[in-house]
This record gives sequence, structure tokens and C-alpha cells, in this order.
Amino acid sequence: MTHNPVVIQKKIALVGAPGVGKTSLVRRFVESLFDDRYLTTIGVKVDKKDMHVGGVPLRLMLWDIAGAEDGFIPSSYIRGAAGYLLVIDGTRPESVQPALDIVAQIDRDIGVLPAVAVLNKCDLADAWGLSSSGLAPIDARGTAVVRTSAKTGEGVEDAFLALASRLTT
Amino acid sequence: MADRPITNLRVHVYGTQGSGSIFPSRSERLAFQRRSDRDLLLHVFEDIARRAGPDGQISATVEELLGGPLTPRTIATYADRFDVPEPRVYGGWTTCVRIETADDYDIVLDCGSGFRNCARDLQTKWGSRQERHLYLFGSHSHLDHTEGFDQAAVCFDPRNHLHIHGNEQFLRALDYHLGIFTRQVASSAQGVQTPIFFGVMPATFHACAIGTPTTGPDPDGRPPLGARAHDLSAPVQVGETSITPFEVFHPAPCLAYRIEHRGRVMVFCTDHELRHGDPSHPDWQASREAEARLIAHATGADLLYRDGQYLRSEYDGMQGIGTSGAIPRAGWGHSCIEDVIDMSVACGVRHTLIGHHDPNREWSERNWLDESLARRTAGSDRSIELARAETVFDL
Repeated sequence: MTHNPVVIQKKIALVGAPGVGKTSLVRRFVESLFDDRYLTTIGVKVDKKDMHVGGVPLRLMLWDIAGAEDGFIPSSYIRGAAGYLLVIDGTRPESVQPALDIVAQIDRDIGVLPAVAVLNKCDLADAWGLSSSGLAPIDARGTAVVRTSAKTGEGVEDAFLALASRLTT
Repeated sequence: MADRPITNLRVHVYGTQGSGSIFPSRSERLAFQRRSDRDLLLHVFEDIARRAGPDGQISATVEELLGGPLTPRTIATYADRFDVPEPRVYGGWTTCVRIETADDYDIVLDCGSGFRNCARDLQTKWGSRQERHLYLFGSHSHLDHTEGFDQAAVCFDPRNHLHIHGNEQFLRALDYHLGIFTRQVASSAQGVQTPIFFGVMPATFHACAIGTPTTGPDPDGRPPLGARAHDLSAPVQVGETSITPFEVFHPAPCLAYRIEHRGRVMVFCTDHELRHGDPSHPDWQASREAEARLIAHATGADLLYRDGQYLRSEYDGMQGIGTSGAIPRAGWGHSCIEDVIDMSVACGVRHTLIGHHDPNREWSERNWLDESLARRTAGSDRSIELARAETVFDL
């Protein structure tokens, strides 16, 4: 008699300023695809990805939540999330502050959740604009930081895996 | 805009709210205020910063900054220099849209609670004129599309003629409590929903039933409406404006309208569901056929008003709206915002207004969605936005 292990389902949110690459990260992670065209997410787009973490079957429900210039997202979209990826555009230091505003909002409205900071667009090395001082508030929280490129795929699996690992331990 | 001549159609949006009227909560009012304060302060500090010397120091008196002594009047004049965006008000009253035509006809689409203000504006516009005709087109019978009728000033002026078009159920809904067509109200209905009835409504009401009206009493034994019949497949002509009705998909029989005037086109489609889920569901095919009709009528339109009450995640029951629970909304008769966007782009619609807002969606969330829509269409000659009350568009 075979025994099918129970699949654990976890909702994880992708949050950050507009245009930082949240949708591209999901597409790369789920479909191994990348498209240069930018299409703003309206509200939320939900995808899923099945994976194993430490031998545990896991279904990640990926909530790609539209960004906002002022760092506001409706808290109702985060509710129920086990954790989140905080996405920052490595070529745009101004995308750090909206990310920090979102963290503060989640802490206030939902509570402190496991998170991984994703510094995206690392393929654009010449345009990289993030400094360690700019990221100090994130470091101070002890948040794991992963450099990614949705375009090349670099670091993308690692970022999701880093968060998923935190959710299964 | 009111001072400019109407060259084609002028569209006034009075009510965009779905399901029920809403009033901004205290937190929403405070959010309006904070946003306006922030924007004004930004302008003020930019203005002050312009006076900085090479060393960055600012040397100016209050009088110099304000252009006069510190009084409420000079402060108001100073603030008026700056273009502070007004708060966007997406909802409030339920569905009502008015169209003024270049050949001086007045057309109204639906009479939700927005119809009260609409009627006030019509009375003001008509003033003392003798020819006073309103052409009202109803989508369907539900309360949020009829509730403003008995509060509308145009119904209480004996000089007015209201030519009311809609399917039989819409006309019956207006007549049931008011008796405006049959000149009678059942004793069981008299005064139940409203103290108003035909006896205190001196305007003249003309009914035009779109589709096939019943000629005898209806199944409940109520007398015939005495409505003029109009074939569903033919446009209604109001002066130079052609108004073509077509059926869309909703739990109640529901009409949408293509309004065409001298080559310009507006499509009004409130309360229509593009159904998702199991294709074998009996409603799936009917919904898809209705969507195909809508696409055929909206292709190349200059202005589209379309129901987009939910996000797909809300429709599928993955996400609640505001503080409401996450429950599947398939079969509730409303479309998803994502579907409106896809349809608008595919049809090449120039300007799309997404309406019938869910009453549970908070102002801050509506702003968030609207700003995302603005980013989506930035740099394009097409625009898609959430419909807002008290907005006016010239075609």
C-alpha cells in the first residue's frame, strides 16, 4: 500500500514598489520564463508552485501583490500569508523606502512574519545602486537577503527556497 | 466644461457604486485629509525653498510669502496658487449616467440613487423651457438601478415628459410601488417601499418595452403596462443619437446599450458577468455569448462603462473584499476587473471606466487599484480607470 504524504500549502506574498520585478520573479520561478515587457499588476495575481523542502512536499500559493509608489498595499491581501518576499530593485535605491514602509505596515497590521529580502535585477551590474547603508534597516531586522535576476534566473530559486525553508521548520 | 458647447456627446457620471450607496468612513475622510494636507505642504515647502539664497538660507517675511498680512483670506489665496489634486471619489451613489447630445437631447442611463442629483441638474438646465423631455434607459430591475426614481425632481414637475425604456422587468420594477404606467398600485404594495406613488408624481411617464412585452396581465395578475414595444435588435432613435440595446448576462434580465452619435460611440454595460469556472455549468455558455455581443458592440468604442466589481481572486473566493469574507462570487452577476482590462484592450476602446464598485472595497484600496491602472496605460493613447462620481467626459 502506497502512502501519499500530506502536501502542506502555504501562502506567500511578494511585495515591493511598482516595477521592481515581482511578477517576473514569479514567472521565472513557476514557468522558467522571462519577458522584458512591463505590465503593471492590477490588485493581485495568484499562482502556485509545488516543491519539496527537506523532503516535505509543499505547495506555495504565490500572491503577487501590486506595488504602490507610497508603499501602501491593502493589508487584507497579506492576511493569511505565512511569509513574504520583500522585493527591491537593485538599480533603483528609491525602491528601498516603499519596501520599508510595507514592512512597517505588515508588522503593524498583521504582525511580524518570516521574510526574505530580494535584491532583483542583479544582471544589471553597471546600474546597481544599492549601498549597504541603504539596506541597514533590513539588515538590522536580521532579514535574509538574496540577490536575484528574474531575467537570467540567478538566485530566484534560492530566494523562494530560503523563505520556504523558514516556513517548514 | 459646462460653458463649452457640446460638439457630440457630453457624459456626466453621477453614480458608479454597485449594490448599495456608500458614505466615506471616518478613517477614509481622514485619509482624504492627510493626502490633501501632504500635497499642499509639499507645494508650500517647494515655494519656500525657491526663495533660498546661495547658502541655502531662507530670508523672507510671512507677508512676502503670502503676498499680504496673515489672514484667512490671504492664506486661502496663497493655497489657491497650488494645484492640489482633489480627492478621487469613486462611489457614493448607485448607478446613474446622463448624456447631453449636441442636438440638445437629454438621455439618462439607469436611475440608481445618483438619479436624484442628475434630476436636480436637469431641472436647473431646463429652467423655464417648455419642451422638457427626458429619455431614460434602464439596464435591469435591481434596486441599485431603480432606487433613485422616486426621489428625482423631474418626476414632480407637470411640464416634464419621461420616456422610459427598458425590458419588461425594469418597467415593472418602477411601476410596482409607484404605478406610474398602470396608474394603480396593489394595496399590498401601497406605501410599503416609499410613500410616493403616481398620484403625487405629476410628470408624464411614457413606457417603451424593449423586447417582447406581455400584452395581457402579467403572471401575477397585474394589468398590462401599456408600453410601446420596441424590437430588441433595432436601435432607438433619439434625435441624431442611436441607442442600440443588447442583452448581457446577469441573474435578472439585463440590457446594455451602444450609444452612437455622429460617428462617436459610448457603450454602457453595467451588471454583466463573464463567467469563469466549470464550462459545463449551464450559465457558462450564455455568459460567453453575452460577452461576445458586448465585444461586438464595444469594438472601437470611444468610451466604455463596464461592470468590474471584483478582482479575479475575489471572484474565485480566494480573497475577501475589505473586511468581508473570502467567498466565491461566481453567479452573482458581475465581472472581474482583469477581464474588463483584457476586453478593453482587445476591443481597442479609447477610454474605459470600470464601475459598479463593490461597497466593501475601501477608498484606499480603490486608489491603489486606480493608480495601478494609470501605470498600466501610461504612455498609451488608451486609458482605463475606475469610474468616479461627478466626472464629465466629452466625446
